[in-house]
Amino acid sequence: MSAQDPPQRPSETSGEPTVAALLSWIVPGGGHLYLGRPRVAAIGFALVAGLYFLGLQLSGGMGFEFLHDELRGALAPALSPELGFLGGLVYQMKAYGFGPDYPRAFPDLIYLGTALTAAAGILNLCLTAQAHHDARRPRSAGYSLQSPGVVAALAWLVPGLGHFVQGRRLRALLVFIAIVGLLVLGSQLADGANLSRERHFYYWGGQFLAGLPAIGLEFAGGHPPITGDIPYAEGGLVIAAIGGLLNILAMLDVYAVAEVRAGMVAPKSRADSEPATKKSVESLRMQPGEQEVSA
Amino acid sequence: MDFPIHILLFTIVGLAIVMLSSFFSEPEDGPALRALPRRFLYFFIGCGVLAGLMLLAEHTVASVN
Repeated sequence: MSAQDPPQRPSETSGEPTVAALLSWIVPGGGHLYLGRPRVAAIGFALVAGLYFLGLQLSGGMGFEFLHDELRGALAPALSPELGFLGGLVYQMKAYGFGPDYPRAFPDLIYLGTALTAAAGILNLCLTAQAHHDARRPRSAGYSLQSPGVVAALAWLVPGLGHFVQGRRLRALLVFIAIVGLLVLGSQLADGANLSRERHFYYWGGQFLAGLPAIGLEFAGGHPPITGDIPYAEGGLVIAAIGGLLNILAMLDVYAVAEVRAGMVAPKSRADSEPATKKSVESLRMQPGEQEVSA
Repeated sequence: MDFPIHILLFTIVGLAIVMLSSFFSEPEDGPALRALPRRFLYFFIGCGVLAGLMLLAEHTVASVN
């Protein structure tokens, strides 16, 4: 096979990828149940739904009460990370919504609770992507740290970790420095005021895409009392949000390479739509010693 | 004093944006890093043109005076 030939797709598939992805988006693990992978479905459901409903308990379901009155529309919560778990988001809106019309005190653990519901949303997106991938390969195919959904989740948790797991060490380091650097720089400029979901609901969602570093910074100093003017508050807010949003590109990058290594798509340069060189194709193949475990 | 700081911050953010978009476009490190200067130049020129157009609009059709 020449370097420019597309890889052979597995002749056996497990189901319809779009159906699997939609089911997973609505109910975590739903797609894997449809694909005949009940163990993965159970683990995915326990992890994502568990995190979401623990978050709801800790926050008293008041996460969307952070939104100012003028922002409280039917689609307003859809711009938050919780959208990644559609069933959970709909349940939260039905059960709690924006709360009563009068202001009330937030629970002590509301920041932790809302971080957990947001994390559940991001993780469910990775599970959904994995369901889409699994639908295109045999039911007997196993999992490893190199699986597309797993590596995307790792890339979210720590920027660069997905690249590191794929053996792309230099890129891992540069991605980590760029994204975490912007997050730290922005937080320094804004004196940590950028890290509060209560103050900046939507920007917080962007920063949250940087994973554990964003969560760590928030709990280390993200809710400072504001006693004076912060000259670069808005600049810092934008810079930190850009850092988080850039991690989407990093997650897509590791996901695409994982798909190539699994033989699902032909490797090519995404910049110019030209087939990659033989060297680049070989560099994307799974390395010796990398093994999958069966589901 | 603000202007140099703004340029510095813009340069830092621009470098991160260009680097990540270069990595996204090119799966191999070598070509991605080699393309950085050209991409950074295009990014700066594009942002400069956009800023120029916005300033022009601010002083003409979108002027509040």
